[in-house]
Parts: sequence; C-alpha cells; structure tokens
Amino acid sequence: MNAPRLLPVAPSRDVLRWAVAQARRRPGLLAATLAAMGSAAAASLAAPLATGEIVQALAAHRGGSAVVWPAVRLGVAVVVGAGAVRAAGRLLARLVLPAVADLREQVLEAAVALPVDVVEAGGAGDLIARVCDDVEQLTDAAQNALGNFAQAALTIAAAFVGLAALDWRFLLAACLAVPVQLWTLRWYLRACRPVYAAGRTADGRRTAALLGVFAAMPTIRALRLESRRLEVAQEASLDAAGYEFQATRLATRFYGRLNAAEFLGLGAILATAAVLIADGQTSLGDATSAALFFVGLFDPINVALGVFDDLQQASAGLGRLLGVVISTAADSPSASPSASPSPPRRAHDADRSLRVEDVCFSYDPGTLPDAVVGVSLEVGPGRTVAVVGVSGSGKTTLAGIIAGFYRPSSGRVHAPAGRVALVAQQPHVFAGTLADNLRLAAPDASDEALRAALDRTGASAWVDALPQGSATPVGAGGHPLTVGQAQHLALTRVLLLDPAYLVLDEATAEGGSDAARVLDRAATTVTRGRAALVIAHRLSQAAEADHIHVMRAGQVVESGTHRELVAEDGEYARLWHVWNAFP
Amino acid sequence: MPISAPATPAALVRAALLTRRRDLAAACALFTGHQLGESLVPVVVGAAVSAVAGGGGMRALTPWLVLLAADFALLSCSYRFGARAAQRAKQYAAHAVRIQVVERAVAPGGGLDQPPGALLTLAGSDANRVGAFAGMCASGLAAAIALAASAALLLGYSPLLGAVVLGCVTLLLIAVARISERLRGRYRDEQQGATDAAALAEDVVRGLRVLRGIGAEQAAVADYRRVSRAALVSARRAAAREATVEAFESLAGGCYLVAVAAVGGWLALDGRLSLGHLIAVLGLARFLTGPLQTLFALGPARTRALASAQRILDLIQTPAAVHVREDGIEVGERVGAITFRGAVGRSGRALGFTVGAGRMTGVALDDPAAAADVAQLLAREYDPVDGSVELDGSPLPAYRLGALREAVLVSFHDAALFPGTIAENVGADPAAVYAAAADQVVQSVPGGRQARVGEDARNLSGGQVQRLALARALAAHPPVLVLHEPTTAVDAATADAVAERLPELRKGLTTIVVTTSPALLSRCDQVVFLAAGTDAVEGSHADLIRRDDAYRNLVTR
Repeated sequence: MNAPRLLPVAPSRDVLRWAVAQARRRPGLLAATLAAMGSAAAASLAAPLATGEIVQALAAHRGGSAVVWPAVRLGVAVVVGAGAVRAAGRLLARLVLPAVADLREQVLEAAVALPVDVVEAGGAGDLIARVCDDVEQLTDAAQNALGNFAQAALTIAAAFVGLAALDWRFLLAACLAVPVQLWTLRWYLRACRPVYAAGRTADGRRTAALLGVFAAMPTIRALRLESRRLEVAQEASLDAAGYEFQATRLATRFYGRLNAAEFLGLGAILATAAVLIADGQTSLGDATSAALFFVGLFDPINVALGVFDDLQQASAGLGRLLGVVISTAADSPSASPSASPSPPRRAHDADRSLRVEDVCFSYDPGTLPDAVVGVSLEVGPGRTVAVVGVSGSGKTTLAGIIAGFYRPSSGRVHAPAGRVALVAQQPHVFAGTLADNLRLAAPDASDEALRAALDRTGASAWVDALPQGSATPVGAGGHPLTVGQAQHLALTRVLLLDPAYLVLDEATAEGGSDAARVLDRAATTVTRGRAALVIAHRLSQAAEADHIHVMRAGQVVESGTHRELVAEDGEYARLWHVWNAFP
Repeated sequence: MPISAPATPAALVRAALLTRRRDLAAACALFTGHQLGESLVPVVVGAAVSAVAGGGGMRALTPWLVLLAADFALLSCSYRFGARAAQRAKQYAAHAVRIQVVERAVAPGGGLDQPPGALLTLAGSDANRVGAFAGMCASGLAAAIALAASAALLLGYSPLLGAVVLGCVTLLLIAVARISERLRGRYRDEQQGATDAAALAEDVVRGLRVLRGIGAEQAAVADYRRVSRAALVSARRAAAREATVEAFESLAGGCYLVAVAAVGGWLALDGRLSLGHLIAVLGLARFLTGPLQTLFALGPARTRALASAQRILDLIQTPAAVHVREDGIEVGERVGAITFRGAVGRSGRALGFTVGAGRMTGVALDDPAAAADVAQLLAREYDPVDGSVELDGSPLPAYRLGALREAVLVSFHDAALFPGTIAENVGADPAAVYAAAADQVVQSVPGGRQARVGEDARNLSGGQVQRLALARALAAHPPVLVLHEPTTAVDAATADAVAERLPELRKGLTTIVVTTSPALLSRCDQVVFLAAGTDAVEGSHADLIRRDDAYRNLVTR
C-alpha cells in the first residue's frame, strides 16, 4: 500500500478569494481597524519630525522656546499613538479571531461530510493538525501581517512624502533601493513557498506521530514500546523543526539582500547631500533629516516586506484549511444516493425496500483491488437480512457503502423511505455525559424519552448502576465503558433516532454470556419494524434472520435462508458447523 | 537531552531555554553585533553629514561611505547567523518541552486520562509557546546589552542625558514586566479554550463513523461550534488585554523619547552639547526604542511561556496510576504462577483465583468490567484498591515494573497498531503470525508484510487488526501472556483456528485467556469461572459445562 493520501490543499487562487471575501464581509470593522493603525503609524512619525525640528531650531540658533513646541507635539502624539495602538489591537482581534474561528468550524463541518475513507486515508492526525496547528499559525500570521503592514506602509509613505518635501532629489536617491528590494522579494516568495508547504505537511506528520502515542498509551506500556514510540515522536518533531530551519535560512538571506538595498539608498542620499551642500542647495538640517528619515525607514521596509513572508505562511495554512472546505463541495457524499434520502413517499411496500444494486468499491482505485465486488441485495420493510463471512471479506466495507460512508465506484444504493442508520463495529464513546452521547441522535429528546429508550433496550440496568446514572461522564477521561456497554449505548441511540433502515455491524463475535444475550435482545428490539441489514459475527443472530448472504473476498458467494444454506453444504454450512462445534 | 523534572513553571522554562545554551549564547553575541551595527548607522550618518557640512563634497564623504559599508556588512552578517542560532534555540526548546509531554505520556506508571486531543495541544501549541520565548531571549539579551552600551555612550556625551535614559528605561521595564504579569490568567484561559476545542475536534474525527452512522454530524458540529466560540471569547479577551499592554508600552516608549529630546535639546541650546553630538544622541535615542520594544515584548512572551509551562507542569506532575519502584525485585527464574487474592479493581468485584505456571488457563467472568479488571490489574494499568495480585508469591508492585512487564505481557482486546508496515508492527515470527491466524491477513492485503497500516489501521478490518495485534503479542514469547478477549472481532472459523493453534505455540509457558469464547476455553488446560457472589470454580471446560449451570449459560452460544 502506498503512503497515506493527505487531504487536499486549496490553490492560492482560492486562498486569495477567501481573504478578499473576509475583508468584504466586515467593511466597517476593516475600515476602523485600518484607521486605528493609520493613527498609530501617523503618531509614530512624530518622533523623526520632532527630531528634525529640534535640530533645525538649533542650527538656526533660535531660542529655547523653539524646542518646547516640538517636544510638546511629540508628547501629544505619544498619547494619541498609545490610544491608537490599543484600539488597533482590539479591532484587529475582532477582525481576525472570529474569521479564523468561523473557518475552523467550517473545516470540521466539511470534514464530517467528506467520505469516511477520504478523511481516514490521511489519518485523523492530518485533519486535527489543520484544525489546531494551522489555525493557530494562521491567526498569528494574519494578526502580524495586518498589524504590521498597515503601520509600516503608512510610515513608509509618510517618510517618502517627507523626503520629497525636503528635496525631490533625496527621494530620487532613496528610490535607488527599490528595484533591489522588489527583485529580492520576488526571489524570496518563489523560494520559500515550497518550504512552507512542506513544513505544514511535516507538522501534520508530527501531529499524527503524537496522536499515535496519546491514543495508545496502555498498548505502549504493555508492549514496552515506550522508547520506540518516543523515538518516532522525536524524529517527527525534529523533522518538522528541520523545515523551520530551512525557512529561516531563506529568510536571513532575504534580509541580507534587503540590507544591501538599504546601503545603496543611504549611500545615494549621503552623496546627494554632499553634492547639494557643496552647491549650497540644501541646509545641514535638511540633509540630516533626509538621512535620518531614510534610516528610520529600514525597519518599516523590512517589516512591510516581511509581511509577505507572513502572508506566505498564512496562505500555506489557509490553503490546507480551505482545501478541506472546498473539497467537500466536490467530494460530498451527498452525491451518493444513500446519504441524501429522497423524501419519504407513500408507495407500495416493494418500493420502500433498501436495494443495493451491483455495487463495487475500492479504497484506492488503481492500487488496491476492489474490497466489494458487484454486490446486489434487497431488504424489505420489517425484514432482517444477515451478511456473514470470514473477517476481511468486505462485510464492514459493504455496510459503510450502504450507510453512505463511501461512494461506490459503480452501482448504487437505493433507500427511498428515508435515512440509513449504521451502528458501527467499533463503537466510539464521545467525551461527555452518557445522556450527551444519546442526544447526538436526538438533540431535543427529553430525559423521559432517554429513560424510555434505555428501558426498551435493557440498558437502564447498568446505566442506573453508574456513579451518576445517565449524567455520568463517559468517553475519554470519563468512566470507562466496556465494548458491550458502548454497543448497547449505540443501539439505544438508534432507537431514539428511529431510522427507516438500519445497518448493524456487530461489535463482537462472542455469544452466550448474559451481557451478550441482553445485547441480542436489544438488537432485536431495535431492528423490529425496520428494514435491517445485520453484519453478523454471531451465527445464532444470522440463523434468526429472514435471509442470509455469505461474503467472500468482496463478493456474495451464497444466499438463502438459514435452512437452505445449511443444506447446501457450502461456506455457510462450514461456518455453522464450527460455530456449533462447542462445547 | 531530556530535562530532569522541573519543579516550577519558571524552572521548566529555564531548563528549556538552556537546552541549546551554545546557540543561545551565539545568537545573543551575534544579535549584539547586529545591534551595534544598527546603532552605529546614525552615528556614522551624523559624522558623514558633519564632514560634508564644510562643502567638501564627495571627497569628504568617501571614507565615511566605506565605513558605512563595513558597518552594514557587520550588521547584516551578524543578523543572518544570529537569527539562525536563535531559531535553533527556539525549535530545540519547543522540541525538548514537547518530548517531556510525550515522555510523561509513555511513562510506565500511567495515570493520564486526558483525551488525546488535549495532550496534543500541550505537546504542540503550549510547547511552541515556551520555544517562542526561548527564541526571543537571545534578541532580548542583545537588546539589553545594546541598551547598556548606548547608555554608556550617552553618559559620555552628557552625564545628565545618560542618567535620564537609564532611569527612564529601568522604570519602564519594571512597569511593563508588572503589567504583563496580569496577562498570565488570560493566556491560560486562551490555551484552555484551544485545548477544549482540539480535544473535541479529535473526538469528533475519531468517532466519525459513529456520527455518520446516525447522521449526527450536525449535532457534533454544533457542539464543536459552541466550544470553538468559547475558545474565541477567551482568545479575544487575551488579545484585548494584550492590546492594552502594548498601548502602555507604546506610551512608555514615547515618554522616554520626549524626555530625551527635551533634555537633549535643552542641553544643546545651553551649548553644553555640540550639534553633532545632539544629532547622534537623538538618533541613538530613537534607535533605542527598537531594543526597548524588544525588551517590552519579552514580558508578555515570558508570561505566555509561563502560562503554558504551568499547564505542561500540571501534566508532568500528574501522579502515576501505580507506584513505580526502581529498586523492585527482579522476576525469578521460574515464573508463571499468578494469584488474585480478593483483588478489587474498578468494577468493585473482589477477584480470587490461582493460575498454575506453564499452563494455558481460561478465565471466564460473567461481568465484562470485572474481566477488564483482570487484564488491567495484571498489566498494572492500576493496582487493586483492596487485596492483591501476585506473581510467584510476590505482589506485583514488589517487582521492578520493567521486569514485570517483560515477564507478564498483557494484550488488550482493543490493542492499537501503529502507523508503519505490518512487519514493523508485528515483527518477523512466522510461528506467532500463524498462531494468530494473521497469515491470512498478510496474504490478503496488497504488499503483504510490507503493507502499510495507516493511522488507526482503518485500512484493515477490525478482525484483521485484532489478529495482527495478537501476533505481535505472541511474537514476544513472554513467560506469562495474558490475552483479553483476543478473538472478539474475528469470525467463528478464524477464532477456532486461533484457539487450535495457541496451545502449541505457548506450550510450557503460562497463558491466561480472559474470555467467554467456548472455542478458546475448550482448548485451555484449566478454566477458572468467576461468577458474582460466589467463589471461583475450577475445572476443564467440558467438566464445567457438565456441572455448572451458570458457566454453561455464560459460554454456550
């Protein structure tokens, strides 16, 4: 099998479009933020102006009072500037943080709508890295970029105006630096894009390695794999750091070239000053101001050009986030018939059957053989059909196709009367109370409704024995539930959901125990009155079904009633024989 | 190298800082060179302008231009290598902290019950915040040095001016450090919000099949939205407070400039400061706002790092679930006899039974939670709250944990595979692979032993994962092997094959199978049946089927 296929990354065109749309969504807020930043920048210009004025006053041998006013103006500007900085910080947070929060919610919403195999192929780590790391990095970069750019751009503009006001020839000299700066920027943006993209991907791998540890701690301890897993996490962490080092090497070369541009501009201004002073065309004060203006520009120019760096980083993260959102539109399983149940209609019973027609599916077409090959079956209303077969024969995949987890590469699933619900083989218990877990299926269900459902499936017996009953926290960090209890919970949840069609992927092959018998009864309760397809590990379950399909290597190889299949002396008969060999 | 356990957040941050002290020192020295170069620019410019004031033109300017070029070479090169060293200090500090979180996660004593997503935030975002502070420290130190040097320079120009600058700077730094301390609570809330959101996102993605199965995606998304909004509120609060601190810094920096400009201007007017010196002083004072801002930014960054360090420390200091003794006894030559003496685990049931050495014993329990206790207690995931579990007559906690786990290997029914190839997960032991009926798995997946098992091994069926995990446990050939429901996810025929092959592989070694599967139980040398409220019943499977109704009821299909 090949390396994991990661989730898609959006092209820069889409990233730009999203950014523009965000800016347009809150024009007032954007304007206010820019205004606050502008004020802060304008106030920060007071310093060089006041300096120039003081020097001027002294050079002209004006009195001490001439120094007072520039100093007072500087003081006022400082106070105004501080207010503007505070407003800008707050407004910027209001502009950026909600937009990014929206985005992470959209990403999760999109992710849960993607075909399950698409999400799982990249691993949970890739997706989690996007929702957490990329979001944080995007927030930082966006706040930095926006905050810095407006201020730097205004400072630069004002300084250029100031230079021009002193003497247009100073401005001309300063402009000598511009081509070098533009060329440097162009070089840099091209060079760093792949490094950032690879760095984000490496971060995703690091997240996957960390999750590999955090989600399997008991297994690691039992097998004494501590040092090996630590090593893997270390490697992934250092690998991600390696990309940061690469990015820094590029960035420092970028700033080195900008330094050269600065020297060029400053040298030109000094030369201009030397010539102009020699010709008596400019004063010492003006020359000083011009040179200091330009020196004061070093930082803002570096910051402004560095913003492109931030943007580049932000767009690497943003591309990964938008990749999920955009790909949903194209890859949504709503294109598959099963996930968008046609509205229930009054029809003849035969038309309300769940029909699977010649369905094929591969987890990785072209690389992997089909996991399900041309399967057709039908489940009428109120009937229970069982699918049996050795493990790995494609039963769970078939269940996933019918429930709309996967899009079949050919064939179709027809579910005319409404939703297909699936009780998964590995019952995940969500962190939260037990009642929260039940309400996932019916958010508005009353406590009484929950109680009634628990009673009907027989789960109330053990739920009541929990420390806080149905209010007991379960899932990660909560009270541990056994696999059987988790399965019981899942069955109760389906009862609350009340779907027209039900696919039941049994969690356990073990039968006989009281707990298992309770589960069997719960399953019978839940399947009653629905068209139900049961992926049966316990053949005693299959034996009670109205019809049985036997799968092998992705195909249905035998079909019939229990009695017919036992008589046929094929695969089912063999399984049945083994099942009944004990005691 | 990993850092030995720090006691306070500050100690944790300090230790992280010092993981690469050479880089930190180099970055600091180089950044100082950079600052020096930067601060010389206005000085050289002032001198150059003064030099051409007499109308000397280009000839008078040329030496100064050469000097300026040398200065630029200095500042540019020192920045280049300083920034690289600082990045190393930053990344390795974050890495060291991240690895501390991972080390705690894999610590033999266990005891963590945080969801994986929450641990991820600690190892990711929080570790990065500590690293970010380390990265800033070098520039902060350099800024402090530049500040001191400039102050000395100013003192040389004018003692009064130097004193004003030094006094202002000291006051400002203290004030900013004080005020940014007030950010700590906000940063902690911010990180907690991010942790909650990450934990929920991880939970949702992991439970995606369940959600999709019942069409509850929207309910889960709504839940996530709620947590994400709460995180947003915390983040905005932190940002708002941060804006206030920044405004204060800006105000403070401005006041300092006003003071220097006013005093400098006044001195020059009095003729106590030459024009050239005044230009230099004002340029220097302006230049100093840079280092000053760097020092100011260090305050909030330190606060962020400390808030994150506190969270990481809370994790690292989480008590282990079991007491780990370094001086525990070694496991003796002859191992294998296991005794439960009224051991009470999490199910609350007192368990009492004995398993003989060198035999395959089935343990059947009518309560899955109590069955889980048997496996977890033997794995020392937790210790009994009452009673004891013994190996060869000594309670498990008396053994050195590493030696115990080497001797007693517990394979959980839901054991995870790790991302990598099947061979990397299972090892190369054809006998073990065969006994676990994993040979069929290897044959059926494309790539065979080199096939990649994805994260969560979702590209394999539940039964395939279970068989590979079983093969991995068998391949270790431990003196005592505990299998907890090893065939729950496989079909009856395969389970039967496993049951048939197990005794052959484990001949002469102690094997405990905690199960209710008749296929497995019937192959055991001895079966222990534990029913609620009664003593353990022992015998062969056939024996128990015949004479114990409760047992028959439990295991019969």
